[in-house]
Amino acid sequence: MAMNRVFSLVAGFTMMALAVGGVLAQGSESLNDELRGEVKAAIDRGLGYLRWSQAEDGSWGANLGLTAMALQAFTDSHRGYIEADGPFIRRPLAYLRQSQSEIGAFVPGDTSRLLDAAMIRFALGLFEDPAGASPEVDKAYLRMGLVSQDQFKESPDVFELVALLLAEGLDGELDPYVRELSVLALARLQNPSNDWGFVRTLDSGEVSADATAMGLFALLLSGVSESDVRVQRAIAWLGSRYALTRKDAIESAGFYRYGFALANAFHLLGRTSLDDDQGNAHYWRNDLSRILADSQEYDGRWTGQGEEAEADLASTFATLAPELIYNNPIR
Amino acid sequence: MRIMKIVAVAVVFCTLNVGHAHAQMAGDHGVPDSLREALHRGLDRAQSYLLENLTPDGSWESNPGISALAATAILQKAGTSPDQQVPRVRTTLDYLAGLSKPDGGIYVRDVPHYVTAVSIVALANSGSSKYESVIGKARDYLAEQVVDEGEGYNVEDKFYGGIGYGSDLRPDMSNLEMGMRALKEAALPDDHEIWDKAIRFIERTQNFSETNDQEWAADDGGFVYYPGFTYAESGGTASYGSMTYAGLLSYSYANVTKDDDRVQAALRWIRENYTVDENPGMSQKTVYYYYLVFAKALQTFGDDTIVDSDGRSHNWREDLGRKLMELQYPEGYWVNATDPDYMQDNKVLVTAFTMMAINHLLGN
Repeated sequence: MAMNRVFSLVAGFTMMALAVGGVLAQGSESLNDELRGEVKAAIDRGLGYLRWSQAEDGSWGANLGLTAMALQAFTDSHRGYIEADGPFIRRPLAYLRQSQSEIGAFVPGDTSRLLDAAMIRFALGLFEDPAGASPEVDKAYLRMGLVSQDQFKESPDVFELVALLLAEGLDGELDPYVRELSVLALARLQNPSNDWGFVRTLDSGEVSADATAMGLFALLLSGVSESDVRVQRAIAWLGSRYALTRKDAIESAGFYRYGFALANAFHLLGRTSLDDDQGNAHYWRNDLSRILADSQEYDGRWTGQGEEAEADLASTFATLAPELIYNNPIR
Repeated sequence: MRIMKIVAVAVVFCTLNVGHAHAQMAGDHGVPDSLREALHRGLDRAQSYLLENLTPDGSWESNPGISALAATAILQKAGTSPDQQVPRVRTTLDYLAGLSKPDGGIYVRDVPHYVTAVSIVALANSGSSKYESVIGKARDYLAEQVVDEGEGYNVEDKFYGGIGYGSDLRPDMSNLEMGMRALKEAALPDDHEIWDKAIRFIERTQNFSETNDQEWAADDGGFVYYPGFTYAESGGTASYGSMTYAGLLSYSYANVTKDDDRVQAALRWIRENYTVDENPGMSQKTVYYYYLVFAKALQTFGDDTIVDSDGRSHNWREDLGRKLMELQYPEGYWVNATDPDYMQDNKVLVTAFTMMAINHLLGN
């Protein structure tokens, strides 16, 4: 049931992207049986690690956002885990629901926990009817926060924006005003002086691969079409700095988030490849599968650099990305 | 492939006819001596095939699970003793023991619970004191993998008391059967709490509403793969052959006796679905695994004959023995190339399953 929800969600966004100009790429490269088997095993091992690292209260690191994403990794997997499968699903759900109640008790207008609310809403939406199951933190609350939050207007964060858009668009429709606002925010984060790559925040200053992949993902979630110059430039940036075939790329901060965002963005675009500056096509599904399978540690975890030195975070991104590939094979 | 099959059938018929000429008498359990002799010859050919494919590092195909199963098949070979057989698979036993991890499990990386279980069985069947320490640690590791309060489950959870592959986080009957068998072989005491926990899981995979508290439970006495899920072709929560025999075996490991209603219900399903031509409910899928649990379970619980739902009496040993001889290839192996999804196209694995089935029907 949860799997169907996720598929319908992704399908909804895909249709949205296509409706505004996205075109499914004709070229494709499917995973061979051996690599597909490796991906499946890597996902199972990743989930095994996450189950092992889960805290007694069901959270991962008492972090709401991470707990929401890790829970999604279980539900999105080819196993399609659901509540009845045991406490490794029930506990994080209870943790998120409890947190949702606490956030829902906040004074209206207090948007300090907007991101948490978005992540919870998205994760619970995988299990419940998004239209009616989140009364404490409803869509109106998120929208109000998105529109009114000064911090967000003044200093948007592309990662937070993706979370908000995912939560906002749970039912497959994005409010036009929210779309307009997010596109404006993204415009401020896309840097024309650096080939139109994205910075994570205005303060961070540096264009990065993970921020650019997230920025592209956010543009698509906002309904910007593939033919739009902002999307084209983001794709070109990612193509010219394509890192999934570079073994040393895993030493870069945010590598697993980059892989996750790139997979989601190109899945939404319906493109199986992207071109580098020399015109060489890179098949991201194969490359990402290969590098993730090779960089997984013995016990199923992935460990990266920067924030991703925290294995739970890296492992969550690194499990979610191949799930997208495995669940959506190219025929 | 077709030619090989024809040759195999021809060879077997020649073998049986020769035996038929001089040995029409019924031997132990009503198995004709001629068939018994043919089965022993079949085991010889199968053992030769396996040993020809044993690699210098002691493994088959660098796969610890398959290696453990093949070693067990050889160690248990009917009509042999450990003194004869242990030297044949010494390198395999050392290979498996060498995989012992600090957590006590025996595995390389994937499906750790299953590989640990089959490795315990192989090492225990050697009868060698050399492996006692490794077996003891592996036993503790495996017992720890049974899902219970330690992982936050409670007795109301449908998966409580089960054990899985260690890849899929859901326990299932097939892994529970192998895990319990390993714990039994590793001499886990009969009064250990795990057996009672396992019974809860076994009950919840049986279509027997008197003891299965799940809403879907029917009453034919057969088993599904895990609570609420079946691989039976008819879908729903239909019972099927291999899991029913695995469930029956699991009851025996958990010290449930033949006169128990749950066992009687399973035996009723078996009588009503008796066949050696397929895995009932799944056609040819996992049919060789079916033969293994069929022989092991009926050896443990069954009489020499099974009376089917039409009132016909079957000597199951004879039926299975003839079937397996018919299916053996001249090179000594068995295989089901039509079933790659369940690795039944792997000759070593399927030959190991089949050898063990023959070992059981011959009384080992």
